[in-house]
Amino acid sequence: MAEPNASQRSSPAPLQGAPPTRRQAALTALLASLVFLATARFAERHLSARVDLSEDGLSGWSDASAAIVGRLDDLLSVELFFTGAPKHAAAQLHRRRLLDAFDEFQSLAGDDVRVVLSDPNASFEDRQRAHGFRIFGVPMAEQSGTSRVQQNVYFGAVLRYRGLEEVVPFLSPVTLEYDVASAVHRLIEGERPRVGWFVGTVPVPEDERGDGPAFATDTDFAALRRHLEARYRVEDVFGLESGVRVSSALDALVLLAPRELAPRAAFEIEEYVRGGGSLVVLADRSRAEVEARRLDGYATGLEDLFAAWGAPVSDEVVWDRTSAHRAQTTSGLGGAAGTIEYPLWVDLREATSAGPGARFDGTSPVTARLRQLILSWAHPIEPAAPVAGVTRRWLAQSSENAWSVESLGLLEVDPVSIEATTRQLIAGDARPERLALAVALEGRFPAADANALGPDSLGPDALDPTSREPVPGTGRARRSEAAVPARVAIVGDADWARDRSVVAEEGMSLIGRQAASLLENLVDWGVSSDELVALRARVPSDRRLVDFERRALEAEGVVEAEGIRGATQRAERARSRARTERLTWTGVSIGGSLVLVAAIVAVAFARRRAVTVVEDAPERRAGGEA
Amino acid sequence: MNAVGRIHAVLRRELGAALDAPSAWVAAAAFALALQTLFFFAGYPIGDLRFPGLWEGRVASLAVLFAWLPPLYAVLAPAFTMGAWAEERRAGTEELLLTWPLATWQVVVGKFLASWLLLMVATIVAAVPAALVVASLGPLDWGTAVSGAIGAALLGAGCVAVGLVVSAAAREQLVAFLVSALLLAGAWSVALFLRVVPGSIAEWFYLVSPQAHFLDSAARGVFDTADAVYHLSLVALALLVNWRMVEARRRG
Repeated sequence: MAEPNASQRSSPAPLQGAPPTRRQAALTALLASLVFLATARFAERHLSARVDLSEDGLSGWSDASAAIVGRLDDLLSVELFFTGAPKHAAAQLHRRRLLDAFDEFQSLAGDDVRVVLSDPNASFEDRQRAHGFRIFGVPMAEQSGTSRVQQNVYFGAVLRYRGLEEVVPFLSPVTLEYDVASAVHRLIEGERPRVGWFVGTVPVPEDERGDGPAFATDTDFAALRRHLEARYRVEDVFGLESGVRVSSALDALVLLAPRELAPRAAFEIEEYVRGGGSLVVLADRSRAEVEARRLDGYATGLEDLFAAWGAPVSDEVVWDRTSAHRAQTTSGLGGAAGTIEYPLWVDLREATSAGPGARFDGTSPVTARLRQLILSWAHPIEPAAPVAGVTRRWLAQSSENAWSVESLGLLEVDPVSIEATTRQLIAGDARPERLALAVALEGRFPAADANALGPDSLGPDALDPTSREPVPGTGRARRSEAAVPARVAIVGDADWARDRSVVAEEGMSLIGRQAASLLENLVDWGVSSDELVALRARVPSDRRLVDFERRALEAEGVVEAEGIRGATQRAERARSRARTERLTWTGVSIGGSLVLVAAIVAVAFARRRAVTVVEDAPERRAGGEA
Repeated sequence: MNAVGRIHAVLRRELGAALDAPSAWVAAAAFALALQTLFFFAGYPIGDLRFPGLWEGRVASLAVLFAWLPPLYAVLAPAFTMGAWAEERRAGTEELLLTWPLATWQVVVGKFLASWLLLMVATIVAAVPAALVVASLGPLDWGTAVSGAIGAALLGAGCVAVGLVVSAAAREQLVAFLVSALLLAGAWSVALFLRVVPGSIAEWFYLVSPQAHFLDSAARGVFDTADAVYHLSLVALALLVNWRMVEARRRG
């Protein structure tokens, strides 16, 4: 494309009306398209370098992953069992995204990581090896035009480090970072953390009891235990009331719905925590007999301990009007199904969700990424005076429209009774308030009392549930004088972790997965795997807009009187004002655009006018002279 | 006058002509009105990427605004480029223009820059007030906004370059508009058919779609050099074809 020379400038080439070289142009366009496709493909494969400019920085591998990978001091081998040529479009894109992510992973880790690809669809040997690692193809079938595309696609990975192996049976771009980084973390650690598991007892119905004991171990938490066993060594803790110590080798202890624990058992738990052990307690204080529509209360036996730590669990239950879960009911007459908003089931939502209601804490990595959980007949954690040396953080709270109520006895599940109770609460002396549903405590925990010796142990030696051998306890133990920093998490409900809440027909329900995440996060936090908790907590910042509707409802006093869903004339007036406010802001935006357009038009007219004046000036001058 | 000065002269001529005609600012106003109505109320209910409108979603994000840019550019860019060559030829000014002491590539680049600047001005006019309103009502992620703006500039450059090629090939403005709008809308809609084509083709479909190089990256705050190469190579090749066509006619 050289510049024209002087002769060209003075004698330009003649032009013809119609494009004379259409064929050549078409050929050039075709060639250019091919070059363009090849360039785009090449750039995608070899020239891709990504920079995340967003403030949240959620694309790509995080600093937490970099920190984990930075601890590698030997070669990490990653074998990807990926279908080489997926027939299904979604699988093809899935594969591409995963491979891009592993490219970035390799860049992050440098020479410490080697990634190799195996194709179980193409090689019988690779398929056998994949199945040996329990990596199985996921059947994908979809109508594609007139034919049906059907294929088992593999997206599993095996990570190897210093003779150890970790298998991720199915990789998804959404959970890829956590799956891979946590597998690398386990490989580096070498041993899985040890987690103690203690489940409370439940009363045995009289007709089933016979000559047996009145209480039996609650077996209703098996699904979440299986879930934790994939990542931890879960061990039963036993014989606490007989004075068997909680092993200090445990990285965390999980207590599920403890019921009327003996003082000696509470003492052993206290000693474990004061010795630096982490504790997670699902501290329920009531058990619902759904069929009989009855709620029976009980004590955990840990009340003194919780009070000493500044987080006593109330024996009352939370009545949350705004976050009442929409529950299915069956009528006693004819078994007709219906739906009620049940305020004793609190619908906890993610920290960033719009609108008012019960929320997880968005600032704690333990709860930041959780989306939803239903707490049934939850017990609020009372805001006792903070304890010196112990920091307290509320992990979940009810809506502002909640009361703590005595609801033991017969359960009322008809809408009329519920509405009547709500009206009574509104008219009563107690003001609605935000109630704490879960708390995280950290620091040096004080003793429950000042006695130098703990309570006496009860009964004979305890039986080890694994070996069935008797294990002697200590008769009367001395209380530790100084406490070591430890972590304790308390949730005022255990029903969310029961099998009936988490198990669906095929594996875990959606809510069940959230429950598993919460328990896993609590345990990770307990065993101080802060890197893993931080990985799971990678969520967008809270970017909610000003809530015009809520602001208007509050200004009208509707929230206080009727709740956020009030439907009176006053509430409608407030909503109408919120709509007007939204329209005003829309008008500001569109008006701003139109003003800018008008400004450009004005500039254009001014420019044209100036040009005209300049052009006319010599003639005017000439006319004037004449 | 050097090459830059000559390109600048063409740029000024084209911009002046565009601003003198009411069609440019009417198109800019219509674009702003459409984009903001969709952004505030309708959301983006198409394909795999579905977003509610701003008032419904109540999140300080420009994702919906960015999502609508490719289909709206498919209309606006041809509106700005359709006359670039076709109208010159119809009015008989193409001959005059090419007799000026300018190399063909300088005219092509000048026309491209003029149309691209017009498109960017229209985008700024439409998007900046919306972004300011969102930022005053919630914590807008300015990093993502800037990344999206860079992506939109590259996307717009590609759309304009394609529109100019079609304008150079077409006899009439209307034909140029319709053909380039169809081409750009077709490229945008390719992402909608990803689920119904075989896997081996899907990757190529994805490769050419603006979704892959704008909505899945820059609009989400991720700047990828491969996307820049994609857009810049599209612009360079389209301008090359454009130059080839005009040059052939000039020498014809």
